[in-house]
Amino acid sequence: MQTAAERRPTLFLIVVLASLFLLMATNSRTRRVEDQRTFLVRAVVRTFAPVLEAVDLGYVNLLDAWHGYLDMRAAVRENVALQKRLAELTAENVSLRGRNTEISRLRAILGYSEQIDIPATLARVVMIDTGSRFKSLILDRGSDEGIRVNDPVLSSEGLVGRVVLTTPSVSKVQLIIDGDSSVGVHFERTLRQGVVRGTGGDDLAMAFVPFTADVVPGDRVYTAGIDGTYPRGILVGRVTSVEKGKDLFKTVRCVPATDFSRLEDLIVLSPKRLDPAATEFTP
Amino acid sequence: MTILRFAGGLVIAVAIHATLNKVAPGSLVYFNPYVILVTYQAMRSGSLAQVIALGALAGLVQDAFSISLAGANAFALTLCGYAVAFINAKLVLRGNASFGACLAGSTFGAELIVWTLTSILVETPIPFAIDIWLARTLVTALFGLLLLQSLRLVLGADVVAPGQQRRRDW
Repeated sequence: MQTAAERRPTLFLIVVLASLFLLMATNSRTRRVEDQRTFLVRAVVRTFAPVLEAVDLGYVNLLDAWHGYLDMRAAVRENVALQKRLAELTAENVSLRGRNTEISRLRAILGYSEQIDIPATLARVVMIDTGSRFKSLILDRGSDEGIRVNDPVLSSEGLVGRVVLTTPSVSKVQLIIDGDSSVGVHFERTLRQGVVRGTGGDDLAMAFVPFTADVVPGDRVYTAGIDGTYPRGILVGRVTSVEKGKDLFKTVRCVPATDFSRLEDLIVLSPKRLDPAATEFTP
Repeated sequence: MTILRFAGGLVIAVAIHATLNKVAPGSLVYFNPYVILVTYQAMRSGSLAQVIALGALAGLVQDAFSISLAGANAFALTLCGYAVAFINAKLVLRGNASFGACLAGSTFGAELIVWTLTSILVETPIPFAIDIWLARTLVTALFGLLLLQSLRLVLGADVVAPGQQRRRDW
């Protein structure tokens, strides 16, 4: 069954258009577009409000998700940059720690040489040989720096040896643990004198310690200044064992004060330029 | 069923309108979703009166969400919907090309009608910007065709297929 509008569509069109024109004319009485908000328009907006709210909600959520994604990308980039920075700072820190250790070591050596008050030359070990029968090392300083044969060499820990050969740029040092090395020493506690010899191994042996001498393990041994090579008062080592030896002497074993496995910077003393009044060393 | 379909289309048109307003303010100058709805309805519906009523309704909704003269878009869409439905009934149009042509004509015609009405009734009418109208016509027609193809894919049938029965009725 057709309605009146369907039977006469043209008439219906005219009615609708007339109504709409009337609506426009009514709304345009103010002659301003901005003021045209009629009851009908408000009703339409109210009707579609859920759609608008849904779109707004979806848009806000989408925007949040997008910003979250952007923030995450930024955080990832920042994280990568921070990790790179961390790696750089870690490397720098390791380098600074190394330098700090070196500075501390050099300061210790410097302080040690200042206590001795003997003209000294700082030299770096370029090669060391403790594996063969002859225990020696090579320094990067030679006769051009004033180093001569028989100059004593020491580390911040104690006596290392003596120079046995020089060239203008390098020097060869015989270590006190070499089998042919001898050092005139005395015990710190009793001032009893003796001779320390290298054993060719990692320790030292003391000769000419009388049977009646008061020596116990732990006694510290210093150079006595009696051999014409080493000045008095340089720490040589510490007694590790005391045994009854042959004849009238004791068998005394010492461990060197210097760790020969990790030598880097050493001091070469020049006793020939030594002030005779200032040879006493107080550790 | 026609009313429900139209209501759904109107909700989608409002959603597109609101989304574009938020995402790209000003983009609606180049796009009119309501014309697509009315043209589609005009080419599909079997009742001329229904096309007139739905065109007026869609236009009023568009007016409510725009700052143009209230009723101007309703007037224009009603007239365009009627014209498309009338021509379609007489010529029995089919396919994408006819839909695109009707849509383009409706879009451009609606712009012209709105401009004419505001020039008559309002002190500050919208400017005569034919380049913008043409751009809006092109974009709307292309989007409408894309939408039509999507519907054809989803529904699996020619969504714009007027029959001889409707032609006899009109």
